[in-house]
Amino acid sequence: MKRLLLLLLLAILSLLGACSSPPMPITSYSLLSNVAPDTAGKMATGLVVELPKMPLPMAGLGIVYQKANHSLVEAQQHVWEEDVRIQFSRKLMQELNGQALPVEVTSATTLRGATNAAPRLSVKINEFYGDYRGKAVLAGEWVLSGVDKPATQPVAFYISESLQADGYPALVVALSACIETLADQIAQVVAPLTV
Amino acid sequence: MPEQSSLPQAKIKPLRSLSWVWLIPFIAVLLGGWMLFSYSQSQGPTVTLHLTTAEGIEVGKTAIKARNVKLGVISDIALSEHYDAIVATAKMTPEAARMLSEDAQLWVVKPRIGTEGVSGLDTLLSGAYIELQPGKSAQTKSEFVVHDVPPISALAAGKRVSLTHAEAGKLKVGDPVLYEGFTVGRVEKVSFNTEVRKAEYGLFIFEPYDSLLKPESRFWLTSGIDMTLSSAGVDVNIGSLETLISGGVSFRVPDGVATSAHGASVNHYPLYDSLAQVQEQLFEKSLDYVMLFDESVRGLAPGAPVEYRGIKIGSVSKVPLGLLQSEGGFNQKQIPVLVKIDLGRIFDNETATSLDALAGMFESEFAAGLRGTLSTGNLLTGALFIDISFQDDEAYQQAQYTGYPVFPTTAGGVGEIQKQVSELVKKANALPLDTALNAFTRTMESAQGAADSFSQVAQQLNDTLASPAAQSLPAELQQTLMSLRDTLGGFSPDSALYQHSESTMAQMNQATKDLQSLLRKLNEQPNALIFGYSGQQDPLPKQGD
Repeated sequence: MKRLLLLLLLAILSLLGACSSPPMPITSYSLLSNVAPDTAGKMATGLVVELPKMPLPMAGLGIVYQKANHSLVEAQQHVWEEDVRIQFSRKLMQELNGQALPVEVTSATTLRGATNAAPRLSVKINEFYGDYRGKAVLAGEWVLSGVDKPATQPVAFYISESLQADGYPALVVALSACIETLADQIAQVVAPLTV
Repeated sequence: MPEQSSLPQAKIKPLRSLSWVWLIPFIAVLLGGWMLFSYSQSQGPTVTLHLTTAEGIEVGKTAIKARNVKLGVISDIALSEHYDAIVATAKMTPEAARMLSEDAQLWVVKPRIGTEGVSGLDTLLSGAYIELQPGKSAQTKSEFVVHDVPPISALAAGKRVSLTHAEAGKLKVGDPVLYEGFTVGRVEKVSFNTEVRKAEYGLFIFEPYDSLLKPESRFWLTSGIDMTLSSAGVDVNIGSLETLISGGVSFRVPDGVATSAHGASVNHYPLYDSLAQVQEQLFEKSLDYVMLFDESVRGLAPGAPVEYRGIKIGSVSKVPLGLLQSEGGFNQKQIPVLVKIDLGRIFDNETATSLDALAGMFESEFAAGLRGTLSTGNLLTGALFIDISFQDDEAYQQAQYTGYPVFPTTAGGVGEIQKQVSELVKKANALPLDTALNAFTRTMESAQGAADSFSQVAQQLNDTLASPAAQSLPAELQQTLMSLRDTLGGFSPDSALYQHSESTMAQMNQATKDLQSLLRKLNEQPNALIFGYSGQQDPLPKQGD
């Protein structure tokens, strides 16, 4: 009797399942860096990149796309592989390490970063998405604060990169390029300070 | 033309005497007769009821019940001929016929909130009904008076007594009759006898408590709070809660009164105001005297005690007894007070001693110097009493005052108070204030000594702290702190524990985000768990220009 009931339940569930729409494939993306870290002869952990501050839609699971002027959509089938903030800070750290900085840059999430007394780079991100005009946008501000020194004036930035093709992979590539541009800008300001 | 004989001839049959059709009306008549008969058989007697009000009584609805069995229903309500009562007609069931005896009692049952509780609550919904208490008499009748409240005697057997009191309104119908605080009966009837101009209260004492009634029993009012202000001070008696609300009447054979062996044959008793009054009235034989006082009798009230060395032997009956005699006017300074000396208070065996013997005894005591004095019984209330004592230096002259023998008096009272006050002042003067002050100074000195020794202790503590042993304490403290730091080091961000907890936190963070996204999906599409998420396809990012 119990078995019969179970079978019946399974049958109902399978019938219900037949009603459901075909599953949509979910693709996940990572902000990888292909820059080799150039740490030779640099001061160990001279700068620590903190986890960026991000508003919720951008800090979510999906890649954010601006459909219209005032409408952001978080993608459901195109998601970040890992917490986008961790990916962002790692990518930025790697990019900075690839720059000609006299100090080694670590991330707050790495083993050595958390307790270091080195100056800290805090990034606040306001925009990090692809827009309907075919551009990837990265905007916000960053600030450098030392443990014993007062923080520098925040530096605002707005970086946009055109997508090379339709689709999310191209958007991720464009967003990565934005981070690389940001790393360049930061390195130019920071380099004289850290000498 | 055809022949007439060829035509069919109708057969002539003689008509039967009665058609079968007549059977139907016959049966109908039979049935009707039987119905009439059975209807008349099912009808019980009709009784006429007299009520004071038709409140809650409805035709065809209000039932007459005995022990909750329906015995009839009200069939008609009308005003009486002189509009002073309600005449209701009730159709009773045949079984009820033998219950309607002469001594049957009827009363209206409706919700009632009284001092004895709440009753008839069930009639709130069902409406009032009339309760029938069948009688025992063989004689039946068809007219009854319906009581507004359940007659007490209908509920229990017992005995009726009546009490008389000069005032009406002392008791209400339904007030409890108490014996030693226990309710043994109820006030059944209150009336005023216009001939003797006294209120009569009918009491019903339930069985078996009616055996407590004796010819010597005294009844007194139990008011909720009995407060008396007299020379003995303030006396407050509080009865039970029920009597507090409604009052009541208590009875008892007073202490010291022999009860007769035979049962009560008395049905009329006087009603006293209080137990104290009962006790006052106990002494039947008494001597009346007039005391003439020179000073003010303010504070001397009727009932104030007459005491001989603290023992009450009588009481004040009247203050003053006729203020002035015509011949004296205000020049006559003495205030007459009528007192009553109770024989029973002086002699145990009241009956054996005559009043004359007592009067003779007093006469000889007056000569020996027995005098009455106004005394202050209570400084607070200013109430006075009459103290009787022997005074040595007084000459006695027998006298009469308006027909009463005069009890010789001597001045006291106010002068005595003055004496008491002056004594009080003297005592206050004699208080050893100097000694007290000295003792206080000594106490202060010893307190000073205590403070000194305290400062010595403080000094010693200082010395102890300065010793090398105490100085080594900080080093130990430092060591402890160091080991504490080592311990805390285990929780520093570089430690494995911290790293581990951080990664756990990160995972938790991720899980929270996943959950958030799931919740959002569920919010959009509550059946997504079963049917899968059928949300829109993600917008496709376009290539830039």
